[in-house]
This record gives sequence, C-alpha cells and structure tokens, in this order.
Amino acid sequence: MKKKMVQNTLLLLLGVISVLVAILLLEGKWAGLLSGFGAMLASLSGVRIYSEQLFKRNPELKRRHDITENDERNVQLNNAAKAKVYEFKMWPFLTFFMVLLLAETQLWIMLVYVGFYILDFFIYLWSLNRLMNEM
Amino acid sequence: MESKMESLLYKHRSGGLLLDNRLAEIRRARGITQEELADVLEVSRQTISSIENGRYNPSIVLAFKIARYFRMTIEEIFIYHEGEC
Repeated sequence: MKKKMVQNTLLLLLGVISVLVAILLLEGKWAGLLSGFGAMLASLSGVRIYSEQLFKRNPELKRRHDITENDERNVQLNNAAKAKVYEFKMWPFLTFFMVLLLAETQLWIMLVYVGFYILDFFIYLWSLNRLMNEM
Repeated sequence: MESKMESLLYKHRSGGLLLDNRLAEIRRARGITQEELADVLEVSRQTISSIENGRYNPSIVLAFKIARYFRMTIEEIFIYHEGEC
C-alpha cells in the first residue's frame, strides 16, 4: 500500500515536471508531446492517489469496490469482452495495412506495423502456453 | 402437472448441458434478499440475479460458498441433467 503511494506520488511529480518543462523550455511538437504525456501521467496518478485516500477513509467503500472488481461474473465478462476485441482487431489491422500500402508508405513503417502484430501474436502464444502449464 | 418446486427451477443451457438451480426459491424461503446474499458471498447482486435467472453458471467455489451458506449440498441447489437437451 505504502509502496503504491510512493510510486504514484513519484509519477505525479514526474507528470507535473514534464508539463512544466514542456511549457517553459520546449517548443513545437516536442512541447505538445511532453505536455500531453505529463498531463496523462499526472492525472492518472492523481486519480489513483485520491481513490487510495478515499478508500482509506471509507473501508466499506473499498470493500464494495473490491467485490465489484473481483466478482467472478464481472471478471468473466471482462475477459470475454477482451477476447472479442482480440478477435475483431484483425479487421481494422488489415484495413489500415491496405491504407498504408495504397498510400505508398515507407517500407520500414509497414514492417514495424506488421512486427507489432506478430509480437502481439507471440504474446498470445506465450500466454496460452503459460496458462496451459499452470492449469 | 409441474410441482411448485419444479416450476421454480430455472433452466440454463450451456454447451449442450442443462443446469437448473433452486437458488431463488431457497433464498426467498429463508427471507433473504439478493443484496444480503451477495454481501455475504462477496459477489455482486447482479451475479446472484444472473445465477437465479439461469443466465450464469457459478464457479465450483461460488457454488460451494452458496451451499455452505444455506447448509445444504450443492446437488440440493444446483441440479445437473446430463444429456437432456
């Protein structure tokens, strides 16, 4: 719990510093990128810190939150939805690949794109193998 | 003619198997609400509702928890009909 709090506080600081650096020291696309990244990091860790504090003050709320999160039906529904997304993902991938091809995009961009898809597939196979050994 | 108990059975078709349960009937007979049962079993109220309506089959662990809570056996609450689909 304390470790998480320290982690989130550090991430919050990193986010705030990133935004400040982007505003004060940088210009153009790098300023935009860094401020976006910093804002995302700061808001995410800020919300986590706030909810941790809220749960600390209200254990009943924490218990209800944990029940909802660990509820076996919710977990199954969540996993089924993720599996559906994984199955569906191939079509947008192929469509975008065709767009890249027709737009005569540089070869390395297409290779990186395909590489990510292959990596994704290998992660799937690795997870499947690990789960088969576990169960 | 169906008996009262049979009429309270909810049927669930899953993978060609038929699973009934008497959870709603037993819960009502004990005067417990879905919220109270969900709270004791540490699951959501929707899970209890879905089990009662036959839309969801609980895990064996949850089935045991339910049976222990009512001081019954799993077979008294969940009825499995092999090859009746």
